[in-house]
Amino acid sequence: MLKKKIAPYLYIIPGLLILLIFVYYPIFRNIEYSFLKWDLFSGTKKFVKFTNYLSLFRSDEFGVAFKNNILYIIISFIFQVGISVIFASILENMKYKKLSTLFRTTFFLPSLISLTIIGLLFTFIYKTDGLLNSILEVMHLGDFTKGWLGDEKTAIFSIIAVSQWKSTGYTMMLFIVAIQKIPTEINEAAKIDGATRLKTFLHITIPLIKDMIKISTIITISGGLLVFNEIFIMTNGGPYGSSEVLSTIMYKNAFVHGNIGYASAIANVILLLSFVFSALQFITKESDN
Amino acid sequence: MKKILKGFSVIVTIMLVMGLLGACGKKTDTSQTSDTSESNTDTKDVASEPIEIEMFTRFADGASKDFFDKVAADYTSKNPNVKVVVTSADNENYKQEINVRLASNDAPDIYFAWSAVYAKNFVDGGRALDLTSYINDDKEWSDKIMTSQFGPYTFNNNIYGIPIIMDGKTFYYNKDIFNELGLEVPENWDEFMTVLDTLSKTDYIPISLGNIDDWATGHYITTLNQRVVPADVLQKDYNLDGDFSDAAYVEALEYLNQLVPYFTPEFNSVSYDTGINDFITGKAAIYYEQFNQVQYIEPAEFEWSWFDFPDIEGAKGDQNALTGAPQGFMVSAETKYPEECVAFLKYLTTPEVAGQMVKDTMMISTVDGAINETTANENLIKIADTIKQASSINVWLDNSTDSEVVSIYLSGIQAMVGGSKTPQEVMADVQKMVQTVKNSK
Repeated sequence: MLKKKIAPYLYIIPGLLILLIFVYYPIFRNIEYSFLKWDLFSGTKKFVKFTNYLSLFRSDEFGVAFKNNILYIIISFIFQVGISVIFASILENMKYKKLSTLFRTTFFLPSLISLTIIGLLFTFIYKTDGLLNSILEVMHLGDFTKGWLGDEKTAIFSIIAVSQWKSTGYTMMLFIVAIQKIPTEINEAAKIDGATRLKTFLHITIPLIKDMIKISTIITISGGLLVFNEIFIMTNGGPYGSSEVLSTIMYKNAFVHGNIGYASAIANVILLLSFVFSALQFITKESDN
Repeated sequence: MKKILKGFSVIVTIMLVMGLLGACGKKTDTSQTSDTSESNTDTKDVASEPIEIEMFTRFADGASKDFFDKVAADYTSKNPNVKVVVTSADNENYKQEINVRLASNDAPDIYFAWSAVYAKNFVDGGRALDLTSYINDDKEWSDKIMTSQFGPYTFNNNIYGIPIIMDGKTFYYNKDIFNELGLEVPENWDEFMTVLDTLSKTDYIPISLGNIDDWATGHYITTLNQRVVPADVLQKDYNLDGDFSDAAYVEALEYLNQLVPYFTPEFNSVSYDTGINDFITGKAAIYYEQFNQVQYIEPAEFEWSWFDFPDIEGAKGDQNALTGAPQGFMVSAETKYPEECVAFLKYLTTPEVAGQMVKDTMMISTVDGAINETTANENLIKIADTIKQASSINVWLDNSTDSEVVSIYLSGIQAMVGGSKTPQEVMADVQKMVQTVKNSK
C-alpha cells in the first residue's frame, strides 16, 4: 500500500530535479546577475541595483528590438494561426484526397528543414542579384528590386516572411489533425440543415478546434518572443541595428561586449514578457469556462 | 498517512537536490586542491609524464589549421615531455568562445589574440602573462621578430603578446582594366577621384564592396581617420581620454561619402564573399582588402597589383602609417607551465617554422627572414617589404577602442553610407556612447 503511494513521487523526482537544476536554478541566479555590473574579462562583480534595467529601457536598441519582437508576434499570429486554419480547412474539404495529401506535404516540408540551412538559402534568394530580384525583373517589376536584407525598411520583414514560410505548414498540420477529430455526424447534420461551407467553418470547425488554436497561439507568441536564429544568420541585427530583436541584443551584450549583468537584465525582460503573454492565455481560458 | 507520505516525498526531494548541489560544490573543491598540489610538484621537480599545454586558435579550417596541427605534433615529437594540444574555433565564434572560457576559469594555456584594445581587455582583466622578461632574456630570438609589431601588444611598457602574423590594408587593382582605360595609379585623393570617375563611365564596378557586415566600411574610416585626424587627438580619443569632438572626424566621414557612388550597387546588402568575387572575376576594378587575404586574390586570372591609400593633401593626420594590426598569441596568467608555453611560442617563431607557415598558408610572418624566395612568391615578398617600410601601424577601428563605442561607430558608418544618417549625426551618437561608457566606468 505504502509502496504504491510513494511510487508515483519517485517517478517524478528525476524529471523534477532536472527541471530544478537546469531551469529554475539558472532563472534565479540570472535575476541576481541582472543587478550586478559583471565584466567578463576580469570577472569582477559589483552590485549596481537597477542600473542595468534603467540603461536598458533608456537605450535606443531596446525600443527597436521590442518593436521588432511585437511585429514578429503579430505577423506570425496572422499567418500561423489565422491563415493556416483556413488552409487546413480547405485541404480537408478538397474533393480529390490525393491532391490534398500533395499540398499538405508541400506546405509541411519547410518546417522539417533546419533553420540554419533556411537562413543561408534565403540570403541567396534575397541577394541583390538573387532569385527574388530576378523574378521581379522577369515580371517587369524591376522598380521593386532591392537588396532586401540590406535595406533598413525591408530587412526585418524579409526575415519575418521566412519564418512564415517555414512555420505556417507546421501549425496547419496541427489544425488538420484537430479537424480530422471532429465527428463526421456533426458536419453531415449541418449539411442536411442547409449550412453553407462558410457557416460550417465558422460555427462548427472553429469552435471544435478551439483548444488547438490556443496551443498554436502560445507556440506562435513564444516563438516570436524568443526568435534568434533566423536573424543571427541572415542579418545579425543589421543593417545598422534595424533588425535587432531582444535575444540578439542580449547575445551581443553578453558575448561581444562582455556585459553579463546587462545581458541578464535583457533575459529577465524576455522572461517577464513571456509570463505576461502566457498569463493572458490562462485568463482567457478561465473566462471561457 | 497522506500527510506522512507528502512529507516524505518533500524530504526525499530536498535531500536529492542538496546531494546534487553538494556534489557540484565538492567537485570544484577537489579540482582546485588537486590543481595546487600538482603545481607544487611541478615547481619542485620536472614532471615525469608529459605535461599538456593547450593552444586555442582562431584557425579552424584549411591550410592554417593544418599548419598549426602539424607544428604541435612536430614539437611534441621533438620534446616528448610536452604535449601541445591545438583547439580552434572560427573567426567570429572565437571571440565568444574565448570569453566564455575565461569567464568560467577554464583558460587555455596559450590563446590567439588580435592586438590593441582586444588584447588590452585580457591584460586589464589580469588574464594575460607579462612576457617582457622572457623577451628581454632571449634577445637572439626576440630580435628576429619585427619590433614595430610588438607595439600593439605593449601596455604600460610591458609586452603581453607574441605577434605571429602582420597585416596591412591596401587597394588591389586590376591592371588589365587600368591598361585598357589608360589609367595611372593614383597618388593623392584628387587623382583617385578622377580614376573612379573614369571607371564609373564604364560597365565595371569602380570599387568592389560587400558591407552586409558593417566592419568593411569601418576599415575605410580606420584609414581615413588616421589620414585626417591629428595623431595625438586620435590616440587620446581611442583611449577614451577625449570625446571625439574634433571636426576632423566628420571630415573623414565626408571623404568616405565621396566614395559611395563608386562602390558596388546596394553594397549594404552585399556579402563579403561577393565583394571579393566581383574583383577576382574581373567585374570590379579596385578592391580594398588586407594583405593577409592575398591567397583569395591569387586565383584571379588577370594581372593585378596594389597601391597605397591615396594621400589626402593638407589633411592633419599621418599620411604614411599603414592600416593593419598584427595578430599573435598570448599566454594565460593562470597557466601552470609558463616556461613551456613560451618555449613553444619561441619554436613557432624560429625562421624555419615561420618560413614553413608562410609556405603553407601564405600568411605574412613577423619573423625576419621567414619570407624569402623559397617560401613565398614575388607578390608576397613585395608585400612584406611594403609593411616593413610603413612609418607606424594603424590599428583597425574594430580593435582601436571600447567595443560598445566601436559598435555604435561601425553601425553609424553603415547607416551613413546607406544614406540614412549624416556624418554629424554619426559622430553625435559616438560622442553620446563615449559619455555613457565613461560614466559606467
